[in-house]
Amino acid sequence: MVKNSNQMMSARISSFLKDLLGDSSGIMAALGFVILIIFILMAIFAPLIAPYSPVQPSGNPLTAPNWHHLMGTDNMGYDVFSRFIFGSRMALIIAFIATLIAAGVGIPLGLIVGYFGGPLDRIITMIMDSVYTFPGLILAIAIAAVLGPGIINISLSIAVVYIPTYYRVIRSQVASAKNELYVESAYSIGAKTSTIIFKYILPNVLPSIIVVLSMNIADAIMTEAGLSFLGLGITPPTPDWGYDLANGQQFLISNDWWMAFFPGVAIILIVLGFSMFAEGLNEYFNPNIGEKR
Amino acid sequence: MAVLSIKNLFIEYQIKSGAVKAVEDVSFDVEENESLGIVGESGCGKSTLGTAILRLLPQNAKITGEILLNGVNLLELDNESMRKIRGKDIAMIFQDPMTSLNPIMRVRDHFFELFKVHNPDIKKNEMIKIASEALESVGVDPKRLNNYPFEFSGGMRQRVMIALAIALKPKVLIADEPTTALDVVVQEQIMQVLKNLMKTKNMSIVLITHDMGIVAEMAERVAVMYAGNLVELGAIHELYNKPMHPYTRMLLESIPNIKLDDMDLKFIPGSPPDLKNPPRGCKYYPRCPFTKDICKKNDPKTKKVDSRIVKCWIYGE
Repeated sequence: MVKNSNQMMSARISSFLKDLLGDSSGIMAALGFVILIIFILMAIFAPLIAPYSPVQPSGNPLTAPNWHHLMGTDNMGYDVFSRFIFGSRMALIIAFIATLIAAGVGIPLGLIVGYFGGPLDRIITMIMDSVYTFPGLILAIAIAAVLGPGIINISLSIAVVYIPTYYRVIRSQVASAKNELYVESAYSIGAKTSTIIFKYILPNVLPSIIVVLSMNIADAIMTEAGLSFLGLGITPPTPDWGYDLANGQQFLISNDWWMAFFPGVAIILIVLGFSMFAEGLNEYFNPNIGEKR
Repeated sequence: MAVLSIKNLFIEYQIKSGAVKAVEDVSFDVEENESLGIVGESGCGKSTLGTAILRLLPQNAKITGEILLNGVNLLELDNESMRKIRGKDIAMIFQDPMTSLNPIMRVRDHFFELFKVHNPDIKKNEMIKIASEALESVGVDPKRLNNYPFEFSGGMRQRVMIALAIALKPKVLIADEPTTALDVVVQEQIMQVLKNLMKTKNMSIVLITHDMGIVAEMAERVAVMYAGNLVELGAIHELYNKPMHPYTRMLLESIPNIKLDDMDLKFIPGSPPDLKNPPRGCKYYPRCPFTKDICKKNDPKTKKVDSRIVKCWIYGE
């Protein structure tokens, strides 16, 4: 049982789900996958699905959900349903870019440091550990505040938080894989160091990353929503769930619940989808993991 | 003429608390088409010696002396030239066939990797042809080139490893306990494969093992190592019939034999010395029944007695 404050949110969610669903990880993965597909299709075909423009007023402000505005309108008269649909774009794009950057830096770094070890290992690991000790969102806020808004900047500030996760997983795996006999036998046939790292070690440590990857996307979506919620994300009026949630919660007091409710549901659903998918994958790739938790 | 010649080889592992003298002043020759066995207890430096020949020891190992392959000192080569010798001139097979092949690469790709290292322009047909020949020579169906290592049994994997090692017709094959992880039936088959290869490919084999039976079957000459020292070296039958060094004698006596009435397992009392802090004088004296005063003071010199090399004070100053 691993319980520490730095355990990823999605890991906690998925362990809760596991308790809920028992051992039916197949159903869980499938359900998660379906949710993901729906959101991804929604993001791709957003202009076709959305009834109105998400950045143009399309009705009276603060209309309750009705047949013209399925999820009502917000205080500016924007259609909440259209913003719900278009919001998936921002969430997915930023989450994917952030995860790509984090993996793109963390994996090669872990590979090289894990392989060569020595003083380099000590220095880089110390840096990574100090990044890892920060609570994710706090660190992301600090970086986002310095960099300013924009897709790339937000992705970068989220990526920095997750680089150590990749680094640590890969480094520890490489450190043990490099002592495997098949690596020594590769040396004994005269293989180059670069061949050994990329052809013998990397493919053998990559499977452990796939699960981290999908869990990471879920976390990145939450961090992104958190940043937008705090006003550090995308500049309004670009549709973004986190921003809409923050905007909507001011109107909860006057019972205009739909403005905050639907973006909130969207965030919960997509994170749930990724977490379930990740946990399902995890069980698929590593049948022992259930016992460890 | 000796294909591989090792002269005054010393190997030390530098660790935090000092230096571990894994191999001390070892010299021997391996003739063309000869098989030399290296035997000894666990931790006496056999594997270190074998690995050192390919210069695959970890960074903290300090090697001095000479390892001559056809007169070229391998210890003086740069890394790039050394890399090209591995697999082509000297090849190695390892103890555990279950883990010595990359689990996610097809057998074919292991061969391709080897061929490309030593000849970047080689064509695919040619690679398949050489690989098939190599597999056939160890009794594996060439069709299995497309299989993954997990589809083979332990014995078959060791055959594949051997095929990989001999594919480029190396002059010297270092077999580091090639049958230790296998059962006796498969052991016999693997030894047969190695014997056949020696005959047909004109190759020398350095067979590292703790199994005296396997050495007897395979090797023409045998070197006995104790605590990093080469204590005795001689032709196999002479050495087995008339061991000269007390250690060799006791090692041979400890081979279990179910035919004898005396079912008690004989063994050598004590354990090999701590190589970080070896005893002064002869390394074996704490366990030796013939210990004299001089054994405790001075390390015996390596002497030639008849056709044998032995390192013991019993055979004079």
